Amino acid sequence: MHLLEVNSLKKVYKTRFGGQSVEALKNVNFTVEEGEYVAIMGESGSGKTTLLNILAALDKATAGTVLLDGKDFSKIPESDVAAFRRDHLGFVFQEFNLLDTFTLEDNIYLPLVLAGKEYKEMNTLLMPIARTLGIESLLKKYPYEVSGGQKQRAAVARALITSPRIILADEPTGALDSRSTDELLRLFAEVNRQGQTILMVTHSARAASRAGRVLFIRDGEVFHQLYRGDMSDDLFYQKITDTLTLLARGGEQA
Amino acid sequence: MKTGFYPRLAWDGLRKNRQIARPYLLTCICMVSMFYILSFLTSGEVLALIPRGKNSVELVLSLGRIVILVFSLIFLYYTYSFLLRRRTREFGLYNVLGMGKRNLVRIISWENGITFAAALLGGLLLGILLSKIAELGLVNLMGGAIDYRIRLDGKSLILTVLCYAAVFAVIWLSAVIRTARSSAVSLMKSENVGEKPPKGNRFVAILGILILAGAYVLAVIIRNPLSALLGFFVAVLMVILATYLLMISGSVRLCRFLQGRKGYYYQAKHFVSVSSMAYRMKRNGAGLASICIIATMILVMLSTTTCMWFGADDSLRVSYPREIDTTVYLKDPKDLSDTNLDPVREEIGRFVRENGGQTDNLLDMPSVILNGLPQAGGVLKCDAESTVGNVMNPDRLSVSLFSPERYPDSVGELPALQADEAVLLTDGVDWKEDSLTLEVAGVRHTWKLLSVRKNKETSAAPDRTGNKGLCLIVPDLSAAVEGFETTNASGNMNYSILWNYHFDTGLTDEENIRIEQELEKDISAFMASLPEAAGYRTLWVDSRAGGAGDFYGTYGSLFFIGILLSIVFLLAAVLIIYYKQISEGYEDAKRFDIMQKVGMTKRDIRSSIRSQLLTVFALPLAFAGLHLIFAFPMIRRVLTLFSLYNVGLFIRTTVISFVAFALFYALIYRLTSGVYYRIVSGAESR
Repeated sequence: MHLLEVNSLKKVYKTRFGGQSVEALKNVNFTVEEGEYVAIMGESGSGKTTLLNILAALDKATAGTVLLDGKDFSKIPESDVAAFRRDHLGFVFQEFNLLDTFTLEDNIYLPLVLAGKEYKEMNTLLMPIARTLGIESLLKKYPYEVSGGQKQRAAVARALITSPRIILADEPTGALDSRSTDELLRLFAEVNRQGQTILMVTHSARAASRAGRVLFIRDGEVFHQLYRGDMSDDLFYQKITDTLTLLARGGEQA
Repeated sequence: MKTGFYPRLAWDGLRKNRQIARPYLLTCICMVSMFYILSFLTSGEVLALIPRGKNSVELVLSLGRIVILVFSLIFLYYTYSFLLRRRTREFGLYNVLGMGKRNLVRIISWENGITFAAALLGGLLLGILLSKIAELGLVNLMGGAIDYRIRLDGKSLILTVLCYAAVFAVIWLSAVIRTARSSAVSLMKSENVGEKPPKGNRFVAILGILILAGAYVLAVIIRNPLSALLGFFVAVLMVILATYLLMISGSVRLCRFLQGRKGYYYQAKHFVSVSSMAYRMKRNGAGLASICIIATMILVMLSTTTCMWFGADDSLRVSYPREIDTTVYLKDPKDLSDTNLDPVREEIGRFVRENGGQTDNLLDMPSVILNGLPQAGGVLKCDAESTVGNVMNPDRLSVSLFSPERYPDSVGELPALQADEAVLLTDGVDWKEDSLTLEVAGVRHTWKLLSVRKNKETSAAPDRTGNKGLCLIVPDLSAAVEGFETTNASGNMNYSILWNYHFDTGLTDEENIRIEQELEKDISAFMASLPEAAGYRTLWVDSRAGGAGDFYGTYGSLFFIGILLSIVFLLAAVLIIYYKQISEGYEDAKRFDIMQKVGMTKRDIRSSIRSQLLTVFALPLAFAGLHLIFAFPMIRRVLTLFSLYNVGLFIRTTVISFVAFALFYALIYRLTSGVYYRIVSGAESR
């Protein structure tokens, strides 16, 4: 069984008064296996945000299915969606989305507190993650007291602490400088090596070049995909930029 | 294009911010109409409808009008600055887009002009409509004849326009000054950028607790009602200060403390609410404190004025124990003998009977009255020097000496008294000595006290200063003051010889008022016909019916104004709460959005909001209740100044006021939390 299975996914947006309809996703098919690190690339308007929202159970598909561990998203009752998201998915956002009223530690605990966990248990879960991410000394600080990279690392910790089946990252490096970007990508790779499945949406070729596989989306369809195999980061990067150039020229998939 | 530009911008600005601008305008309208109504009620035409106590009504309502005006100024100023603050960004944008300060000022001026015109128009219309209802209420309360003619008072209209023109001018001027002072960049800055979480100064919190404790102690220990008035004022200021300190700093400390208790803090229902409360208390503590103080004000006002109104009868009975009160001053204690007083008793009886009445329920008490300051060893210093200037002195005691033949019923059975033996009845005094000595200019008289009895209900007619009283039953009134100088060097009386002769006639109020006047003439003439040696000095005749007008006039209009002002203050509280909810809602919307993404369910959100709002709402109410409990003894003492001794009634009115207020408060809570929830769950922004 695949960890994540996306079958003929379609999403149509209607304007409010039913006039025109816009097809954001036409027919998307792909699967993600346990322990994979997948990047999804595409230009603005290609439908990658829509795809991520549907994968995150924040939005509903018009047609097609999304299965996580064989479980169909559309079969989850509305009232359980939030709990499902909390228990099975981890999120990393471009804008970090940390709460300014909480310390970093409390921000990381948030999903666990919502799940009704005890403090002791949460604390034991936090320590190894904080060590891996190098934010042990920052836990008592508030978001406004730390840098962007540190905020994003805290956000990653928040995503990891529930031991989610898959981490969904939406442009995680979009708001970071190059040093913090490198650091974060190194951490993602590290976390992935420890067995964490990651699905990352990005339009940075450099970020994508660290993944194990890259999916390219154009006009609501998976246009192409690249496997790293045993390529080095640099070589893979080269392949990705070539594909992007091809995409930009509007060429057909070979 | 030029002409309509600024008015249109101003109008757009108000419309776009209608969620804030509309309640502000409504408040303006209510204030204006309330002011007009009060002015209208003090106009000659309305006063003419009130049968009794006109002057008191006019005085009380005029004072109430001043209170409304001052309150309008403060409160509208406060709300407008809130409105202005919410819009600094918009103005900043205009500024960046090339609008100068001068142009901004023009927009603000137009806005204020539009608001002023709308407030005045709406307020006066509403005022004219409601003034009839208010008039009916007031006239009915005062027992006057109501009619259904619509009245309009031009003078009140003009006064209202002028007063509120002044109020709006102040608000406009402050807005202009504030805009002129701020820079484009500071205008552009958003309302909350990376704000530090407040630390919650421990020192300030402790200071708040100390001041509050001090105020409470002050409220409880002050015994003398006149000094209570002053003490009350001081205590009120202390309570206000302490409330602000505690709400701002103490509540942050409390949240920090809760955060420290991990078992409590890390629960879904407390986690979000405690942390966001800790975060915003510093700013919103002031709002909470204001709500708390307004709530306390309303409660104190409602409970006292209703107590006064419903206790007016009691109060009247304490001040006028019988339908007709006759008080006669004489020259010498010897003159209090029955042989000397009997002719006057007979003459009063004859006169009343001749006018168709009786002299029932006689209260016939000849007495000698002194005022004294207690010294060591049971000595009371009764020289006029030490007592006249000391009305405010809480230690001052009034001493009434009675003979064993005629004394107050509450003393009970008397043992046989030898010379230098006496029985003491105390009223609010704890007398520990087994003897009592009166001293005037060095001369002393001492009695051995055979028994000391305590008065449960205050009936021993404490004097109007509220001084505590002693009743001493002595074997011989003349011997009791023998050798005492009658007056001191400056002519003030050291003691007075007093004969109270009160009775019920069984006649109607009108007849009693007539008898009051004619009896005074008749007895004065009769006394003048008696020989000089009889010692009659002066005579007062009062009737309960005659005094009732003033009582009901004062208490009734206080009751009326109490309710009107409560409405005004309530309105203010509602508005503060509403604004608080709106501004917090916008702040929290983003937070709840994030939390939903991280996996917070709608149910979690709702229960978290409920927990947070409940705490925030319950806090001011709980504090107001606490304030009220500690204010209770002090207010009770102030009420004794108005001859209101019915504690049971005051407890009832206080409890009823509190319950009624709490219910209304809960209603506001429900309504505004709905607004908050809509904003937070995103229904407003999408």
